[in-house]
Amino acid sequence: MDNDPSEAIRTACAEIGTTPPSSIIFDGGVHRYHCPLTDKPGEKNAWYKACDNGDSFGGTVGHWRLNIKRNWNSRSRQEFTQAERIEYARRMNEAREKEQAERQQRHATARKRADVHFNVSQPADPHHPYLIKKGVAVHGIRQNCGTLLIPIRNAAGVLTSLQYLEKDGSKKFLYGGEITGCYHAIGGKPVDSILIAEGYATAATIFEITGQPTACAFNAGNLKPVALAIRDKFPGITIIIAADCDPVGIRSAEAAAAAVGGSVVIPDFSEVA
Amino acid sequence: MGADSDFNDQAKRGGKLAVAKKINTAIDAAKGLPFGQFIIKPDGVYMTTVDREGKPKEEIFFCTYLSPVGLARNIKGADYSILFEMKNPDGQLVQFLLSLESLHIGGGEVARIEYAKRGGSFGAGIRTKQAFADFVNSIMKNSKNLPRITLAERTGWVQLKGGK
Repeated sequence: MDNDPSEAIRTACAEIGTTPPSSIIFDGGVHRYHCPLTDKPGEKNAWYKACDNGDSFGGTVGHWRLNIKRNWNSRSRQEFTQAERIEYARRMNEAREKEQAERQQRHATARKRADVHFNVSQPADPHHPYLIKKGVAVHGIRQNCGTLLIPIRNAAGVLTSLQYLEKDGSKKFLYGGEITGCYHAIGGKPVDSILIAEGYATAATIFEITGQPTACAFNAGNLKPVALAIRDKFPGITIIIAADCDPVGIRSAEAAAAAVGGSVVIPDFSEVA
Repeated sequence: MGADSDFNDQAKRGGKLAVAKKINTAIDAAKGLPFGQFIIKPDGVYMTTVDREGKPKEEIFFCTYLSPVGLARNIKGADYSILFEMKNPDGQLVQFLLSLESLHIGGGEVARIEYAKRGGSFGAGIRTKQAFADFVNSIMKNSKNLPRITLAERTGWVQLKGGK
């Protein structure tokens, strides 16, 4: 077994169903890239972290939309001595704790920024080009200049982050904001059932057509955490996941439904002329 | 990734009515199809318990997905069976015919074995002996709207009872 980092990172990527970029930067930072296997055009949901540890290369690969990640190391497990394994586990644990503390700090900062951004914004214009293009109305969203602001809240109703929607449909999240398990609710408190969709336009469409409360989870990887948060908050209700009709969307929706005893509904384009 | 992928796309391409129908059907199916004290949901059959005032208290998982497709009988109007649809452990929907006679052989054991042979399973702690027969009897009691199926011994035209 050689210590080729590119082979190790390729193997880790293959395990989560992505392909790594051709050149890797070993600086310990998170680098996002477009993965043609899983991303829609223009998206960069795949990411990697690579470090030079001196005696080996290591890091993590992951995918935001799929909500998965995998550690990798250029040295195989068999090459480590017992003492090295203990030391490696200690370092990994330390790094994990540090990362968690940093993440919590980022979340706290983002909550404050989200509050400020949301409060200084104006009610969204129903004639905003994105809303016109998607044919949906304003449901609890606001606007700052030409950018739509979609609030992202946790199950307790705390504003944790924002999604920024531009006129051309491009989307960005507030840096460092907590998204996992958080959502934008449309249609008020559910009585006996709720739908969960990926994007704002899909959730708004479903609510406008059916009148059913709908939650927007923002990406496929967040469907399951949102479904679990909603199940925790409303134990008795029926949860239906409105999947996007692509392999990632369907797989994530099925996983979310299975986790909460819900079901999946998939758009049908077979009868569309 | 195709251009059309979500319900917003479907609403624009195929109309809002199609989306409403699709989603409302899914909601109805997810809420379950009640047969007496049993509710058939996409992930399985549940037994409802009631409190002292007769109000629904909780739903207990009874068995894996098992739903009646129709009520079947032979051309003489005898040998009644229920055509069931079930989900096997591989997640595939399969159909099987359960003879009502089997409910009365060995205290319903034959009927339960027919279901279990195809990969069906029961919830933990469920007293299946009585409950499975109760489930099938609930379906029979509420079978007015189930489609009728005639079982023929061979292909071709058959004379149904009553000359129809």
